[in-house]
Amino acid sequence: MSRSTLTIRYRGWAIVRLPTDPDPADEPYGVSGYTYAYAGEPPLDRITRFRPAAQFIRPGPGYGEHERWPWGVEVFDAFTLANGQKTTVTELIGEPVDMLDDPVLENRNWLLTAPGWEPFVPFKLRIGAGEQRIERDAPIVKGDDRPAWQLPTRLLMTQAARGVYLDREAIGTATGIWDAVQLYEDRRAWLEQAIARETDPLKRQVLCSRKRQVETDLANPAEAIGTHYAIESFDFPVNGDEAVIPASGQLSTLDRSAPWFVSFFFGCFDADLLGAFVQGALIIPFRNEG
Amino acid sequence: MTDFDSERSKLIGAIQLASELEHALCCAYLFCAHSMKRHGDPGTTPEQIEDVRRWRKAVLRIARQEMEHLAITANLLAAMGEAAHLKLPQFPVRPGIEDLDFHHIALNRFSPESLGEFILYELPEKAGTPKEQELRQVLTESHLAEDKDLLRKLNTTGRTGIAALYKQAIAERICVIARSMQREKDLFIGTPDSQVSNTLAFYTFPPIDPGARLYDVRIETVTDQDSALAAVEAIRREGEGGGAGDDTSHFAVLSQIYIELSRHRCRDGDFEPSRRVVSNPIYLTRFHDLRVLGATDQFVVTYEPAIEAMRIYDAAYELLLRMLTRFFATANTRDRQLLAVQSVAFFPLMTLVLRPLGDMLTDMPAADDLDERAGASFNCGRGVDFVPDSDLALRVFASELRALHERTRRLACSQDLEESMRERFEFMAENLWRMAYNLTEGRQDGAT
Repeated sequence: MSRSTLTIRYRGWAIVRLPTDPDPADEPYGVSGYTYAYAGEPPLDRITRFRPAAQFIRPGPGYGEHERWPWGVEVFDAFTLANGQKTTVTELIGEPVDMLDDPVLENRNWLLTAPGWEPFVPFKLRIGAGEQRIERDAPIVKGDDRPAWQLPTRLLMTQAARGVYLDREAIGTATGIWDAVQLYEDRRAWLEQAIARETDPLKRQVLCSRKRQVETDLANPAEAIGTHYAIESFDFPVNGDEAVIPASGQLSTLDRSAPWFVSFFFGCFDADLLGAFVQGALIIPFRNEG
Repeated sequence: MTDFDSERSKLIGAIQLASELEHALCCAYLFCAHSMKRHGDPGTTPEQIEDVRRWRKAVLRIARQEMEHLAITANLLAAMGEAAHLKLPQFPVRPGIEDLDFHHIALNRFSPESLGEFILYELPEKAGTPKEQELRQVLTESHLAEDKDLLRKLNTTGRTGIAALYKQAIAERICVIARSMQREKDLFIGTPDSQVSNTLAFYTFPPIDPGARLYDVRIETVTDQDSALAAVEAIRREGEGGGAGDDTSHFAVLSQIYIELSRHRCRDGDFEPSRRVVSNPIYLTRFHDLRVLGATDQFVVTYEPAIEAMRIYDAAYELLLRMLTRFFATANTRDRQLLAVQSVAFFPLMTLVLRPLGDMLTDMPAADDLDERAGASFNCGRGVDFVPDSDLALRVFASELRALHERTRRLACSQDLEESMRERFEFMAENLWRMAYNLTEGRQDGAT
């Protein structure tokens, strides 16, 4: 008989402030690639932020039903499966989803893994907040204290993306963005209007720099705009020792010791806003009762 | 010695000379780019910094294309059965070449003067291209002394520099030697497999046509007279340009930067686009003093952490050249050892060590209590010898990388350095360890 499980589905836009090849992985401002930190902005740091603070968010246009770009990852669906019976868990829907401890896509100019086969390091997922939160990490090797840069590539790849590939259908279905060139054309128009409105000289300079780069990307769409359709997919067990589950209620019977599973994709990278779309599911078994 | 042998010998010498000049120019462009200001540097507005970054990107692109030219000259030599010529002359370089007009190549920070020198180096053989006319007009109308000086040099410099070397000493000589079918076969005796192309040098994502440019680079291969002349023409076109409307040549790009810089300086006479990096920096060593001393325009760096960083840079650069020497010499094998060298030499060693270290050096003072900054010296004192055995070569290279890891880790602990710089040295140390690992035990783990 299959075990009862809780499935938490999440999606949203994250901030990913990373330099791009051929810049060094620790290039602070971006020079030779197609991503940059502009005047007054924090340096590029490679960190992926599911719940980005305001200082990391560049002003941008609305998207879909949103007046501004809808930053942040959250639960959009949650349900239990027990004996083939699916029951929605409404209290989880809309809860924030975060990756803790400053995760980076650990590749380092292809030194640790081949391109597209890099893991997030560290991987520690949190859903919700406070006493009712669900939280667990996924060490690449349990009990192995070596940092990721010392781990054999075959071990890194157990938690890595399964290659990077272009998938317009998946990106279009998930985000509604089917035409990245048009997105950039619209961005250029928005930036022009924003520049005309902006009175702060520093902010205006950043908008001008962004517009110039968007125009460069439009003139050579294969690189920054082509990457819009790229996807990396992940699927691995989440089996850290310090799992956190709600102290009370239905979800207090989730199994903290058995492996959980996470499956997600990461893509639709927006080189101007330094954002990417993530969609995935965390699957947690309930404890066997008797 | 027959005419063929004599002419072939001169041709090989000319290609080797071109290799040394391309190599020296590449280093000079890198040095210049490392010196350019970044966010947070004092004395510049955000608008100026954004322009400087755009110029820096362009200068780094030109440096990559000089590396590409060096690789193409290696392919030309390989096509004639010769070894790649990766010798790097000592800076400042003063080529004294009969019938050709070369300026000396020095390690100078980004400035109107150094930019002007680069422009003269990339000067088209024929005068009067649209970009040259535009540059001349700006220089004529400017009141700045450096602009008048460049205009004077443009009017007096002969157009017999590196473009003439490629045309007269290489392309025309190839045509003379290979004028009959049999002589063409006698000249191009190398196999295509022994050459390096983009496909062999780089990975890429998204995957693109193998003939397309990667990171602004396309390494041409050579099999016969036509492809040799095409390769030489590709180098010439990238440098001096292909005529009207070509805004991507080195000459056109550098001229455009000069025009924009001149306009900035006309508006703001105090505008300094680069850090105050000393020219031709050197450091004194116990064993190599006699070789590097003597030039009056060198600066002896005395700040200890900067000296150690310069030594690490030179050791890493020398190791890179040794790896590339082996890579070019064994390109025909396409074996795991070759791919292991490829996976370290091109991307991580260049991008995770040399590029950041070159930048970081310009954050360090050249001497205690001095505003001037240090820089890379590109002093490859021990040369670029060939390590013959493929497995042993990987062990030798890994040992050198581990030694660099230790030195970099020690520098990361230096309390003389700011925390942000110590963190970058720590990151570099980790990456050097990993490169050594990938060359040896990591190869069993699928790292390469």
